[in-house]
Amino acid sequence: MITETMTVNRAEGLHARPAGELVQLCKKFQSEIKMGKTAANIPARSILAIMAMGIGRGEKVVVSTEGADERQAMDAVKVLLEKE
Amino acid sequence: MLKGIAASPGIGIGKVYKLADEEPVIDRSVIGEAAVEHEIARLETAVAQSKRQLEVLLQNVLRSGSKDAADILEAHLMILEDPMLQDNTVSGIRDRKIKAENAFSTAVDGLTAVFEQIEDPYLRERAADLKDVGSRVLKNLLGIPIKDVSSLEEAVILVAEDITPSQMAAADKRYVKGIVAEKGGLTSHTAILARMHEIPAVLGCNNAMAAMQHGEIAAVDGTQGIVEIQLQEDRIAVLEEAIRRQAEAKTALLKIKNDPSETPDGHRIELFANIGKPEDVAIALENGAEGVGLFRTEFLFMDRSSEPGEEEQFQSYRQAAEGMAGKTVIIRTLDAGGDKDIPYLGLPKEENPFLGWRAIRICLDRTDLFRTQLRAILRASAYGSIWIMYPMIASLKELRKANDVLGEVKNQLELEGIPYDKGIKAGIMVEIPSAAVMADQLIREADFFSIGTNDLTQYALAVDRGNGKVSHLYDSFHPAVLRLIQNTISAARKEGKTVGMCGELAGSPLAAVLLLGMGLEEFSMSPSAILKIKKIVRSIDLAYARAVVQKVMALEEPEEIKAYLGRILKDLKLDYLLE
Repeated sequence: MITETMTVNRAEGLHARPAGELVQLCKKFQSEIKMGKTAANIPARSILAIMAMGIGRGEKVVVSTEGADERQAMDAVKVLLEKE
Repeated sequence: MLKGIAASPGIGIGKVYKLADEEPVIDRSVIGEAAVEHEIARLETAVAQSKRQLEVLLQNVLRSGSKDAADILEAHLMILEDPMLQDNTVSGIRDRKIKAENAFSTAVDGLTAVFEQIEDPYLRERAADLKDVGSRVLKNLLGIPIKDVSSLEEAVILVAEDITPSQMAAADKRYVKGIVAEKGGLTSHTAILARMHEIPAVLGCNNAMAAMQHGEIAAVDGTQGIVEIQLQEDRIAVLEEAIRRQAEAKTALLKIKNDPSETPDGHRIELFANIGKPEDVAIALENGAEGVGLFRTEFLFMDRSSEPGEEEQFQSYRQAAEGMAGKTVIIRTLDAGGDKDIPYLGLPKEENPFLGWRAIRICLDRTDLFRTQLRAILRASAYGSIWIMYPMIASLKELRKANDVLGEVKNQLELEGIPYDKGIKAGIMVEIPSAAVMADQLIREADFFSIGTNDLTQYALAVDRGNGKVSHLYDSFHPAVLRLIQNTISAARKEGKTVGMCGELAGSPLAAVLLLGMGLEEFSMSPSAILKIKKIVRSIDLAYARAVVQKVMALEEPEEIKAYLGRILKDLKLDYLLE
């Protein structure tokens, strides 16, 4: 399992559209992807759980990935969250 | 008979189709251990059924090209398949031994409560999506039929408390013969879309839901603002005859579609269309539009959770410019506020929204929004003939500020080597009385004027036409409004600049002769009105229209003015255009 902390740079924060993109991204990897404000305990494939965290632009999130393609999954999540 | 606001002209007959479903009743009984797996299977079947329904809706919407409606449905599909929602429901069935509908609605209510507590307006809106998906699954669980207006099989009259833009977008327009809603006014989105699609509509019709029965035959007269119910057969025959006459008149008008918009004595004007989405260009061209006089960009900002980025806006503006193939497209910068709320902009609740923070006032404060939009418009200007129009300009200072921002954005594009139309025109909407009075000064720094008669009338007469107590005082034929219009047109013509009109008056057959005589050069309106105005223009000499202006400007009451203009159309045997 890998755990990393990253900043959400999307103008909308982790709202509807980016949260939806995250759910789509999870489907592409075998690894289990989780995240949270202080610990990675929320499944990223749940659009409702992600949106309910109410993470805005500039906030930090802890992300964990676990599985055969955990490195690739982590890199993809990082690109998605950190792009402006 | 019911009365309301005549929001989109024409007569339509069909079966009443109420946009409200039977409410699910939830069985809260406890089940035995043996029934647990059965309940889980019922849930899975209902989710699968909901998924199929949403996918069919999505396909229909994608075919009609409505991106906003598609975005909403895609979000609904994701919520439907959300693991948290499903896990919570399944554990409710297993642990609490309750029926699937009880466990599911408890899970939805729990999550909705979480969303509703969040301060963020976007997320509060997602609570509405969640409820929407929740009620679909519940209805499928309980076998309650879901009313789906995207695949209709017979002529209907849609009846609702309020119709949302997404419902309008999803509706199968071939079978929607009329719209009746308890809420909404002339400038509501329902009204604008109904006029765009030429569907007769009566809005602000109190009690419609209670008075009209699902499945009964009803008629909507969107010209007079009347809804008829409990129709007798002879009455239906009379109405069908009227509908046939309308269709004939429309066919006859289509014959002049390619003829020039020119008076018999050789004076040429331009007839443009008002649009809200790039896809509307097709309807505009079918009706013979010679350009787009108003592209209401706020539609791109509505019904979504965050503002469209530069690229998305650029694609929309480019699509409109390319669709019009070199004909002028006047793009109005964001006109938010007033009655057009865009939740994610966080507009404060105001005592007097029409006198408040709206349109160019927002854009000049939130220059980030304004710059993004101007960049997108400028980039699109390389692909057609685009003009920029600022709404709600009240003073020279605002026009200068807006032009300064435009200049900076142009310089930036220049530095980046991005192409745009260097001769692009930037003009203003004249819709505040101060602008109409000071037109001679404003026109020196604006490339063109377009008169917005809806707001100009409400501001000049201090009447909120959404307020039933005073709406009868709202009248664009009031002599004061006509003088403001005349002053604006004269000022632009003296300076040799283009002057148009994009308010409702531009599409009014009654006003056409008058506006023509005043020297209006470009008339922009709902596509469905274009050929009517062309018919009038092609029947009246400019010299005669000028004489009409002399006469009208000497009259005192709006009623006298309208009666006089009505007689002129009658003498020309053109009064059928008023129907």
